Amino acid sequence: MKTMSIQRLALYGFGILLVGTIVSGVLLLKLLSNYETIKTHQEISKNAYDALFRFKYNTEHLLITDNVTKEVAQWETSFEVLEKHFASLNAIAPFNLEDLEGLMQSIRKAKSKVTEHLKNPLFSDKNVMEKSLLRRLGEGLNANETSPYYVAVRDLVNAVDYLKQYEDFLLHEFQLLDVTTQGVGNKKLEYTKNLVVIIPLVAFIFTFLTGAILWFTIGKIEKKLEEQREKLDYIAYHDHLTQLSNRAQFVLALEKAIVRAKANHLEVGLLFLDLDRFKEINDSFGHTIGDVVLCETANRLRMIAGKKALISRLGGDEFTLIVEDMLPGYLDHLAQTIIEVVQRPIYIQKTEIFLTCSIGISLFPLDASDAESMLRNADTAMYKAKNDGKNTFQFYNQEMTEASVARLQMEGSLRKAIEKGELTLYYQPQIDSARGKIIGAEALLRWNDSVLGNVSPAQFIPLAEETGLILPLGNWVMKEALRQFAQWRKEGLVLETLAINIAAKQIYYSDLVMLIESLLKTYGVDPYCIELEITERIIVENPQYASQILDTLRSFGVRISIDDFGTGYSSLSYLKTLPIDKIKIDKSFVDGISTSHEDGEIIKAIIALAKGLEKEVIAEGVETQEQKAFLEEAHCFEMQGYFYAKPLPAEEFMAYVQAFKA
Amino acid sequence: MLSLMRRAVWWVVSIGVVSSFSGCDTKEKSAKVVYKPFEGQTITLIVPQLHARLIRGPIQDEAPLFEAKTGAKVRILTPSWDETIRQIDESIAHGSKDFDIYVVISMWNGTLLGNHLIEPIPEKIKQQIAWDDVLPIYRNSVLSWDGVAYGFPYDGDCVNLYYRKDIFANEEYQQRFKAKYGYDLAPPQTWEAFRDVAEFFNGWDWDGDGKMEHGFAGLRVQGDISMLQFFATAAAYAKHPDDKAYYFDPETMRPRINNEGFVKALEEYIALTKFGPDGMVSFAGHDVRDNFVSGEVAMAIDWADMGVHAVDSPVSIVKDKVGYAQLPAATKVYNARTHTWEKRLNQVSSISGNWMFLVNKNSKHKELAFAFASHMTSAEMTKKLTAMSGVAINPSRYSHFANPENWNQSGFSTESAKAYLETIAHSLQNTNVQYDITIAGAAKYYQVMDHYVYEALIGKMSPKDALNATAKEWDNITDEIGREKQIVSYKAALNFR
Repeated sequence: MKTMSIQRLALYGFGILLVGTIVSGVLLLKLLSNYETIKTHQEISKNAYDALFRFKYNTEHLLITDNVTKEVAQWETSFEVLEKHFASLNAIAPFNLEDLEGLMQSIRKAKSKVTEHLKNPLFSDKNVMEKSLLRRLGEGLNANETSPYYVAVRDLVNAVDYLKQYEDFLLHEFQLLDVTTQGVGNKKLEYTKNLVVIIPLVAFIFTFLTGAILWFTIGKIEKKLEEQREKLDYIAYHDHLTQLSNRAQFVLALEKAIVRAKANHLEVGLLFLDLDRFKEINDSFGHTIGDVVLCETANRLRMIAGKKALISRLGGDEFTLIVEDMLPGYLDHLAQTIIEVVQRPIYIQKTEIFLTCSIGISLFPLDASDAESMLRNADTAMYKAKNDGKNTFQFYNQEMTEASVARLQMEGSLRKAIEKGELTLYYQPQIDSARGKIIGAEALLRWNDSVLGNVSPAQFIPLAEETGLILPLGNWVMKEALRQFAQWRKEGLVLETLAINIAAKQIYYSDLVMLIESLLKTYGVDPYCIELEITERIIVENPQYASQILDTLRSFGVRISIDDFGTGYSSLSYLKTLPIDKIKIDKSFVDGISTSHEDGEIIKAIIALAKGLEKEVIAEGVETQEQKAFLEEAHCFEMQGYFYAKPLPAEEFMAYVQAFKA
Repeated sequence: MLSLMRRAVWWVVSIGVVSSFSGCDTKEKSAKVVYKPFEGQTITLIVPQLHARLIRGPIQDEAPLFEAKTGAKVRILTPSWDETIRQIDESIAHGSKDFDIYVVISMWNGTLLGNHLIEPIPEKIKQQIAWDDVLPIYRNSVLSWDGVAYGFPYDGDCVNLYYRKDIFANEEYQQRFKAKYGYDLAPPQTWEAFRDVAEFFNGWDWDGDGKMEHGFAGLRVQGDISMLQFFATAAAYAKHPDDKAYYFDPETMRPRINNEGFVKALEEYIALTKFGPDGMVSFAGHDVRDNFVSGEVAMAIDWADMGVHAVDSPVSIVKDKVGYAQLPAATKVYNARTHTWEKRLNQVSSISGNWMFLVNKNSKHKELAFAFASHMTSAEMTKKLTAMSGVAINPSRYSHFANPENWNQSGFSTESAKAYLETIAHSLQNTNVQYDITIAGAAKYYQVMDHYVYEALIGKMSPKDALNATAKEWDNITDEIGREKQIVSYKAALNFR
């Protein structure tokens, strides 16, 4: 059943009580009115009885009075009073009113007969005798029964007697009516009295019950709301997936911990844990498996520090542990334990997954005085750990912050540089040593900041990738390279190939196909001259999607080359399945030609593999004659590097090409 | 804690509610509901107020019992005789709606039955009151009109002669009487003998109580229903056995009241009054009875009440000393049709009076009226009442005459009761019967008669003149009411049908 809101319940309760109060009031008013009616009816009945009694008394006195005239006047008056009270009987409406009317009518008739007899001059004042009519009757009887006087008195007595009989009948009825009215009235009054007691009692019980029900129900609702609130609180402060505390809970807990620590002069340690390469797990095995991995990680953290630290999941693959009142060296031990435990394989659906994590640690009050700073510092330390090769932990120090600040500044500058066009492309010539010819160039991005000076691509490219600036940057590079290529052609410099580096995000988060197609048309560049360099990492992220994009680009004629081959995953299957035209041997192998037998063998193997798969091959980072000779020996004639030329601005590249020809 | 408190409150409330109801009255209503068929219904009965409790007494006694039994209300109006006549006449003049039951004698038959103001007794009620048990002399005459039954038989009136058996048996008195009148002292068979016996016992102390006694009581002249007695005694002279009619010529409604038979009868009537106690002409029925039972007179002419009164009255000294006989006969009777005297012994039974219950046709509660009338006139009720003194209810049913020993309870010896009943029965077997004037205007006819008989008694008029004057006024009354109508009515009253 749907629970009613307290407001609605209160409204209903109020309504019920209001109705109850009104009903009680109305009933009491009705009872009061009844009481008045009962008393009035009793009064009417009594008055009628008394009036008739008086009239009957006066009727009887007609025959025994010594003053007929006076008695008759009183008799008439009492009859008028009787008539008046009789008329008021209508208000009582006795069931036998018709009968009473009949009797009253008979009385009127009988009375009029008596009145008629009384009009006899024999009974007038002039004929006043000091004796009563009854005595006169007696005397008449003894004296002369046939005298008019005797006959008149006898007839009057008969008429009076007849009237009295009807008076008796009516008196009896009035008596019954009075008894009934008094009886009924008293009964009703008793009933009314009881009701007057009962109604407030019932109203009290009703109010009490309503109150009790409201109290009981509101209690239930409150309990339910409390449960809901607790649930919401739990949801608000806990991570749904791992059931660990969430960011909000974490922040509160950390603030409280800091307050406690401040008060007790204690330390608080914060461990910021980020799973290494977790994104790859998500991408490779799907989010479901990723979630299982997160849960397992949470469980492992609970197992390690469940009783000693507040463990939270801030989001994604980021976890924190707040440790209060710890012994010296405990954090090191804890971080080390976590790293060890996390890297233990996880078995999911018969798949063995390996995982590592990087941990940053910051301390209160050593590294920060508030929760926000503490978290930021731990985060910074964690990045440092990641930069240090992952699967390790790092305590925060001030330098990290400074580096971080510098990084932020660089990010800002890079944004401005993109906007202001401070970036430029350098072109490193690609040489076919067999033919002794410059066959192309690799466009390389250079940033000469007014403040930072020349910023290394090794610094700002990863930064651009992290911040997403790589997309506008990549687009700019693509546009500028093609523009320059077209410009050169106009100027008479014809190159077979222009190699342009493509970042992973350009494939997955931008419409690269449309961009290239558009630029090719815009600058009228032959697609076969364009060679897009991709890294193995790009393919590994989503081989199917990457393959689809690359296939489309190749369908235009654009060529694809794998950059830095051999340094990453080097999945040979990709060479078989992916639309790749060229393999670029990484500079690290070329660097080792003179010092490492293995590097030389690897280069040979790569070249052999490329030849076998009918792929072109090119080596980068060629800086010495020895290296050039080795590569030529191994039948790799396309190369680039400082041995020939460092990356050059467009004008210099033009000059170089002309000089090379010469 | 909170839930514990809630639970506690819940229990307190529950106990409160339950206990508030437990105080309800659980007493069983033990009052037995008795069905009262006439609950809320009221009827009004009119019966004239005669002396003491005559006629009305039993009605007033029984009404409360009947009311208690049936839930009905019976209002009993008891005006004086004159007032009764006036009220009934006035009521009829105003639509006949005032009274549900008339308790009247047959003199109202013409007024009430002849004008179709009375509801005939339904067959069902007839069976209920054992109509066939009622003596034909009543049920076919005074209780019926034009062959239809209307009257509930309350009282079976029959005027008889009562005499002091003990005094009549006194040998000395027998000898003295025979010496004086030349024949044996015996209950008088003729009005001449009656006169002799009355004369013989009048004016001396024949019972040795030191007081002077009188010959008889019973010839009343004025007030109440005294005229009935005149007609009861006059019948011997004026009621021809072959002629149902008595008061009027049924073909012309010409009064017979002034014919020679009635004149003779009035002369005799007036002559006899001197053998009675002082004031006898104004006696009420009860006075006649008290005079006889207290030993003041040697004979009495009275309804059958006398028999009961003699054995039941506290003033009676004549218990078992009373002899019963039919009214004396006349040695000649006047034939009104031939206007001649016929010498024959003419003994007439008088059933004058005959109180009965009549149910008003306009009654709103006829069922109730029938029920009360049936109750008061049932064989059981009337049998009880006939044996009761001071109520003037006399035998009217076959069953009243059965088992004389049943009368012992009222003071009769079986022998006495037997004689009493035999006399009444004998009277009622007489085919020559004198009934009251029962046609419309009967009261007026009687009142006129009452007046002129008194005038004759006090010597203001001769009997002949008084009766001529009466006849003249009777004609006026007849014309006033409508002669033709009265002719029809009179014939119906005689049950010519």
